[in-house]
Amino acid sequence: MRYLDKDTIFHWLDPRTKIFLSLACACLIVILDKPMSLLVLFITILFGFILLKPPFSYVKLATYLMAIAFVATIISQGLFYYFEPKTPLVTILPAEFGLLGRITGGIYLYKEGLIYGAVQSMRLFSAMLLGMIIVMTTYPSELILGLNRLGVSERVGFMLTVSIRFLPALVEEAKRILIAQRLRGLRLKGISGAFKGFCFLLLPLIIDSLRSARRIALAAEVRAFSGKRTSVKSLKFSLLDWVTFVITSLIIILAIKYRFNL
Amino acid sequence: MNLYIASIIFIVILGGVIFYLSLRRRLLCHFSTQELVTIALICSLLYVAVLPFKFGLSRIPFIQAFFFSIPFTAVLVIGIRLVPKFGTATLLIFGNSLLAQIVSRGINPLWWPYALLSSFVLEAYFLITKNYLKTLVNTIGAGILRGLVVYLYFYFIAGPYIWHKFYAPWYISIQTLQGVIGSGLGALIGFALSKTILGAYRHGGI
Repeated sequence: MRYLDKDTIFHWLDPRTKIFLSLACACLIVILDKPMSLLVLFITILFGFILLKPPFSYVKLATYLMAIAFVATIISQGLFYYFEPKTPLVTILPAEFGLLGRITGGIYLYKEGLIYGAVQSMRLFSAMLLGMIIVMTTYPSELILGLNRLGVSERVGFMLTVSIRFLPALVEEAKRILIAQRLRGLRLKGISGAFKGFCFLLLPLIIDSLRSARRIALAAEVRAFSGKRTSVKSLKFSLLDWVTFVITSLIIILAIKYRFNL
Repeated sequence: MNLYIASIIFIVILGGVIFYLSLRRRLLCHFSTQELVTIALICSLLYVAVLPFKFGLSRIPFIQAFFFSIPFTAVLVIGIRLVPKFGTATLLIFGNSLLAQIVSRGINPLWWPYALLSSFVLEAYFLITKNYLKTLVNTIGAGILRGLVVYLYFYFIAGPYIWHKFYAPWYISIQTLQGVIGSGLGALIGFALSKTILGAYRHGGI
């Protein structure tokens, strides 16, 4: 998933506001406990996602990730439902089934667990969709700048910038090495093959990348890099940012008030 | 919610103690540009190395912890052995967490304590042993410690308090055990691979 060059309300927001929105969403995910409030949060974020008009491939990816999260949460919470009452729907392993049954206390698929899992998966959906919205509407460099303005060290900012710059180069280099290995007759299959392949790939990949790292460090040092950087883009808090900030803060305060009956 | 907040307080105190000890032992030093770029490279590599496992072997239920922890720990060990300094583990683990959030998941500060705990535990381990993965035993110890802390924190605190997802004690035990074995194995692989890399580094191959 990459940045979408569009002109939407999310694109106008300052990266710091987006970081605040992420934090607010994360807090709401933890605070909200009623199925209806979780549904409202999810629908609101889904509306934001639709507003962006993402390409079909992104919609497909989001649906695929949400489907995986939904199935995994339903199954895991169906099996490990924590609260009472519990109604077993399917007995996977009876409690009387030897040592395994005694250790696990029996493995059952609970009806209430399946419902609980379905409700809780909305927390995952909300976080996933908001993450996608931020990735699609903000350049990584702007997010790093936003983090720097919020107090994250500039050296860490530089490190993150270089990391992001390395990512596509590393993937390309890994592909090149794998092709070269296959041309030399390397055929690996199965789980042990996957790990052997990982070891064979890692060594040339790191050694080659360390060469690039040395070049980048040298280039930075000859430009008298001291950790502090200037940026072409300057961040500015607009009226829209303030409005978003105030509304989101109010929503969090209200959520806390209702959740803890203050 | 209380246990999660208590964990944050514990992590802050642990970080403070480690910082104080590093100041007293005069371990706190600046990273050169070369070292910062190397750490940045390993951060990216941590992200790339787990990708095939994330969408492949780690989707297999019940055994995902084992497959997931091997590549991560292997690359982490290589990174720490390349820059054996106080703070490298924190920059690598927290940097990787931030990178993953910036690139794919979106910034979520609620998961920062998880990354900070796993890095602070390693920093504390290095402070106590006074050894930055120079020996195989020390490396495997660090791997096992990382696996233990990360999986216990995830299943007992992060999962239930952030996602409201609960797990049975027997399942947590199985996953943690796999995480510990996987991290130990990953540390072993990382140690073996880093020998060659460090050799190439020392003899001017890079």
